[in-house]
Amino acid sequence: MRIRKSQIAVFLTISLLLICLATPMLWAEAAYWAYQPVTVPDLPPVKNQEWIKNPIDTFILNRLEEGGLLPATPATKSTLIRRAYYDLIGLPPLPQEVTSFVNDADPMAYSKLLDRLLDSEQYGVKWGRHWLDLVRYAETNGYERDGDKAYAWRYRDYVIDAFNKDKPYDQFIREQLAGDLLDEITPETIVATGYYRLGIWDDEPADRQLARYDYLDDIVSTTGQVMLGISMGCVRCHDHKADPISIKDYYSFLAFFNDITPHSNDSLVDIGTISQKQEYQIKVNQKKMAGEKLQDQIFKMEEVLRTQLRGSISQMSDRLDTDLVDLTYRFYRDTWDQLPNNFDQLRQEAEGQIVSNQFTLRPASRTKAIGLVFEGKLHVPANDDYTFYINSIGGSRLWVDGQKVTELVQAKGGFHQGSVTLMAGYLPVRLEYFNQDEDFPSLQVYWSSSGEKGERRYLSDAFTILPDSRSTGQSWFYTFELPTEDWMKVDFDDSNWETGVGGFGTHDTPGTFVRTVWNTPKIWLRKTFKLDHIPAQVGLHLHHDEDVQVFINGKRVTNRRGYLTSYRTVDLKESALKIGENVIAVNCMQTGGGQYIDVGIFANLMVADLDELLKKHKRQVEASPDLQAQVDLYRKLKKDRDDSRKGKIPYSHMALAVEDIGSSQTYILRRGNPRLQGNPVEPEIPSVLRYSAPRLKLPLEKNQNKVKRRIVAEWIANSENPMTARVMVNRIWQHHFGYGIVKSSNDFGKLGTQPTHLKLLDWLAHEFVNNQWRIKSLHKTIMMSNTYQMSAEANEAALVVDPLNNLFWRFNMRRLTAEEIRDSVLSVSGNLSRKLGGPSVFPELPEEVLATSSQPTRVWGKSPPEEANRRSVYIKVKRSLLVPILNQFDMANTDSTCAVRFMTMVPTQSLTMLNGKFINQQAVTFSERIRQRGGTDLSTQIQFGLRLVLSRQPSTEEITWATEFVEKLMKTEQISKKVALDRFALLALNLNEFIFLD
Amino acid sequence: MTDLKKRGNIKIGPDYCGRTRREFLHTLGGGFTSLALTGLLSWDGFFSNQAVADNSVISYTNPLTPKDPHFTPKAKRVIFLFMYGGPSHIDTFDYKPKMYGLDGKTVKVKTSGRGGEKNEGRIVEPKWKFKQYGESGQWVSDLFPHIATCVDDITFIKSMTADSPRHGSAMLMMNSGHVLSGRPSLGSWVNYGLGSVNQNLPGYVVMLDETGGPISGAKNWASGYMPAAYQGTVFKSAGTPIWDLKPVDNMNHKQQRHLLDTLYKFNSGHLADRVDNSALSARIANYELAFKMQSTAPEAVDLDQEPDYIKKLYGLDQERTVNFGRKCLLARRLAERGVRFIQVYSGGHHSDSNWDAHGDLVFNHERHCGNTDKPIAGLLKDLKQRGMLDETLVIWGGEFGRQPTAEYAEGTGRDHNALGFTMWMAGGGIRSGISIGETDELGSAAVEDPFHVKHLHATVLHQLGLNPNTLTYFHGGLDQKLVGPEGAKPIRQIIT
Repeated sequence: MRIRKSQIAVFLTISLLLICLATPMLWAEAAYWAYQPVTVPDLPPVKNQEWIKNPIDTFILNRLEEGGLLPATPATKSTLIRRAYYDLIGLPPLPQEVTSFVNDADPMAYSKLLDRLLDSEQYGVKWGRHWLDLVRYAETNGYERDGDKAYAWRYRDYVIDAFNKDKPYDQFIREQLAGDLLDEITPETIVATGYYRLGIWDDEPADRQLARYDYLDDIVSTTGQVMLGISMGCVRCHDHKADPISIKDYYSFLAFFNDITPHSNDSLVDIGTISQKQEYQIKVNQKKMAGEKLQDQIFKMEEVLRTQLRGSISQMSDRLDTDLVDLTYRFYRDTWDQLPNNFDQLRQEAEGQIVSNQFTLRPASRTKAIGLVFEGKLHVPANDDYTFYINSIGGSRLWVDGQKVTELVQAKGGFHQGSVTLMAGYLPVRLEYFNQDEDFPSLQVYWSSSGEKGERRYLSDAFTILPDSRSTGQSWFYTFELPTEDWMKVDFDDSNWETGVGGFGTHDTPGTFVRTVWNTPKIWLRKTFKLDHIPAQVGLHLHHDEDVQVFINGKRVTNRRGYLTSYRTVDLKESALKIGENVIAVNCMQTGGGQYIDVGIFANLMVADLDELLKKHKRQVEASPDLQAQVDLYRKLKKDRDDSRKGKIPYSHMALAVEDIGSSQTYILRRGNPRLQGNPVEPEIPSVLRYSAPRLKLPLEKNQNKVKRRIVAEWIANSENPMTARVMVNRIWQHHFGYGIVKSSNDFGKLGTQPTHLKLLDWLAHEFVNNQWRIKSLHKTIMMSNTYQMSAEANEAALVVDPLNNLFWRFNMRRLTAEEIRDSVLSVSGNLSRKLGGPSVFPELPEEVLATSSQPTRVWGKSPPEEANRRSVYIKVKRSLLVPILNQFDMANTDSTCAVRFMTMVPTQSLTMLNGKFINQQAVTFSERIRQRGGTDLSTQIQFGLRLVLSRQPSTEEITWATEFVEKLMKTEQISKKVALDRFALLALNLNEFIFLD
Repeated sequence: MTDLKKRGNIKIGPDYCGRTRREFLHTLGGGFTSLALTGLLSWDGFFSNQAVADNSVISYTNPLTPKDPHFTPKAKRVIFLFMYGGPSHIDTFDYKPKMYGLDGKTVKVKTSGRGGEKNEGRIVEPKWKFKQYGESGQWVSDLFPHIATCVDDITFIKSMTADSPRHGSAMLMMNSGHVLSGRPSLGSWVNYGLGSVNQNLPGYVVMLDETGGPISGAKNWASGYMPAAYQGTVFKSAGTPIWDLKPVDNMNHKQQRHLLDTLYKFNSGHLADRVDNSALSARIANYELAFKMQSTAPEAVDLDQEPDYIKKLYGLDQERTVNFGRKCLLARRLAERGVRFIQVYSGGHHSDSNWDAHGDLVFNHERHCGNTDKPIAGLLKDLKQRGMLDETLVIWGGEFGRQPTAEYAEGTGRDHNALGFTMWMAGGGIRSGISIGETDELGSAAVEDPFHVKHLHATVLHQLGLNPNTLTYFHGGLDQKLVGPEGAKPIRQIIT
């Protein structure tokens, strides 16, 4: 799956890309307004010049005057400050802020207020949420496991931060679509590409091929609607019925995204800085060193205990014959390119005795970058010529009786042998071994005399049963075609399979030895081998990319998912080996990127397990306090070591992001069916946009990858693209006024609604691009207009002419959004935490809500109160479990882009606002706040409370209603003032005026 | 300006995030006065009840306002008994005589389940005996002695197929017609198409197993791209039936009434300057509705009102059946009170807590059949004796069936099977005492008259008076349908 991190080549020269081309055929279609370039419209005439604050007002008033309508009266200052607060930061103003604004005579007061709110970091929280709705933001995948999208929150933080720092919108798009392919790539731009990973993902789809296109369709339809205002939902199967978009356009557009790696559980990208990585590495090393130190002590202790129990060992039936005596080891740590010549000049990290008298890697306290030198005596039974065989991962060298018998200095190691004439007796022997940083160690040594050829005698505690293809290619039967399901059985007939030499795969896969090319989705391999005895411990040497299953004699012995980048050893719990003929069968699958498969089998000879020995000699140990102390120490060391291995050093500098897999050819799929492949297509923008929009010539050559998404990003983020700026300014307008100038803000096509003020839309788009795509200045322009500052007051005449307020003769009231409601409640109760960023939080949910999950006890987390009371955008977004208060008040559906939220009024909302645990808890704290800060007099307390929820001075009548309410409760219901004020607080949080915005 | 009483009911905002009719509802935006939907809505026929206020102020439209069906319906309501996990059809209703005696034999048969695709497997012979019952002589295994007595009212569809043999996607398929997440569920479509008769109770109720929800939880009753008002409401069969239905402990009825009266004063005062905004009055009215629900919903779940013989009929007198029995009895009570779509889950959580018999088939199915047999039969009989069965469509089934062969080298567990399985329906204008479609001799795949989940959905909509091919919802540039873009016909053979 992994592709080599090659330099990201940028082939783009924008000047080259902007070549205008026209095909006359589609001119008529292209005349549709949305496909026309944005023009700078002339300001229309208006009579009431005094009303004009900026050109927005000119466009609006012109239409009102044409329709014989008058703009509504200006909003009061207290209405205006509340409106501005909610529209920019999604929270109510504090009473003192309202008072000081209302009393501020400075003509610039309003402008300054807007600047202050736009500078608030809570601005990004409010406006980031609008973008998250569009990009179907959620933090789990949905489906059976509803698995976590790790680090998805970094994307949420990226969006909030982008709004807060007023990132130019073109750059915002560029980063999300191609943050990994830009000229300047930063952790931030990588996080931005999380855009592609936010959607639903079934990890076990019924139809994998179709699922891939479902994924791409999600990207195409989201990108099309969100960034271009083009709806392509139906074009996957057939040409658009209303808009001039063909099925070819759809698949050509899809081709831009076809190189994205598939979803997986670990599609994470490391975004750590050098110092973060170093810091992590130091911690990892410290932990490792501690573990290794213990491991070395344990090995030594084992050898000591073995020595102590030596007399008994000799009587053990499972003791192994060995031809070595007085064996010692020295252990080195370093990274070598090849076997060092001069171990004696290096400093060993540890040394000791090997009681088992076999060459063994057990003294190695870690598995990588190790050196070992063994010295001892070899018992030679008779004068003869002897051959020594070594098979090692890593280099090795053998001396016997002062003569160098055989060596292989290369880092990757392999099989080597040498012969020597020896005299009978105990002769000095020395074996040197090393392995590199990347490999797992393996060392097998045996010898034979000339007379007994084939009779091997092992000198090491491990040997090969079936070699892998690293040093010598091994021959296998293989097929790329799905065999019948008994393909792994011993008696399966593989005679019509191909024969090939391992390993199998593609040459660009890391750490491989490819001798037969395999580049199809699946491969099946079989091989027969013979055994004369069954070893006790068996393992595999294995390299796979991706999922692999290995069967021995029809029994599955391992099943691994994902991919490796070098060989590994895998211990098998059950080997299924038998004496005589054995069959190994392997299958491996591939979804993208590199691919490879190779397998070998090795055995570990039984070494008397020390724990077993200690059990057998329990009495002997107990009889000797000295021995018992040693055994206790040994056990403690082992426990310490096991403890030290537990837990990982956390590394959190990861991002949910995309990578490219290379160059994929895209085809038109007839009726959207992946099995009905039509003509091939190249990445291309929809044809209807080629006349008015900049035409990008795609400098794509075959096999040239890592550029497609960059091209589409540059095209969308181009100031000449007629859709991009229009679509975005329309969204900003929508969230200020309740609906867009084009109300179907995700669809500017013919199935959408038509603009009510096209010239205004163009003027805004032009301003936006001219201001370097800065969103904050657009807010300011809009909010400084008189159009925005009108009241929401009704006017009977206008209601008759324009009941929908299409002409914007007044401001539109709105209900607060789900997040605004919850955040406002927390704000009023004084509990709101305004902290920004970081992993999502889990506010307490009632058990009956958790009970709707298939895993009631595991589905939701628990956050401390100050975390749980953070703004709603930070609440975990789980696809299978919705937070009731957000769900009830119409949060966005997370499975597809949501441009406009519903705004429903149903009685269950009232139940939640009256009886829900959250609202009642908040009411109690709100009441406490009232009692502490609102004075002692009931009337002042009530005023204090009402001012908090209403953001204005309550009327005398309102104060009376509330006072009577509290007093009556205390009198007739005999409840305490505290509880009565709790009730008042609950009442206040239920007021329509609190939930609605003028 | 506008007469509050006239509008009365619950109303919703104009800005459907999806877009019911593209001509107007295509993402309208939050302006409250923008709801000039009525003229356009009437285009769809069933929106004829939408309120048009006088003096050209357009009022909120309650999404759950009762709407006229497309044609005269045969069924007024649906009770869907969902056997989550996938019951084995060949051990329950799909009699396969030739399998007996083949236990342990390896046969060539194509299967597809969570364990992948296989071409052969070891037969697990059906573990229960079958007998013919009733005048219709339909076959039922010993697992369902009580349902067996109702077969003359039941139509079996023994050739069901679905798109996925994996729980996650298969659950979504059975509940929302598609393997991809994000679609409205069947109940939401019904709510959307017909509204709700009883405004004091939800129009779409879901009752879950004690062990937990099914996988994907709320997605199974979500409204997808439709407003949340159309989603299923989780109902508990014991205690407080709906979340947040009960006032906090120390607030009595009188105190709450007092609170609501004061709230009304404030909200009316607020409304006075904004009378054209019907969202405000809708919210005011909702407090009264909520107040009423506090008494009507508990009344609906008060099973003590039922006589003992009825309780017994549903198995409420036995420990094994009391849980599912309560839900079935509650389903009938809700049906009586106008709830349009009721879904009852048997099984929740994972593995043997539901019908997902991968390990020990006998243990699993004896448990779940034993827990549900009597209550289901009780429900059918009770509906019938009250004359309700004719207009209540009862559906039984899971997201798929199970394979004829063993999943593992040992044991009786069966893997999932979406290539052929059985579901049954009763009442609601469905023919009785018949069986349609067939699987092969092993029950591994539907071979005669295969039907897809979308045909089942089409049948349900059709029985309720809705045309499955014209009940559409505009979303994402498409007129979306429950039964998919190509449409589907109801299963004519089973309709009276």
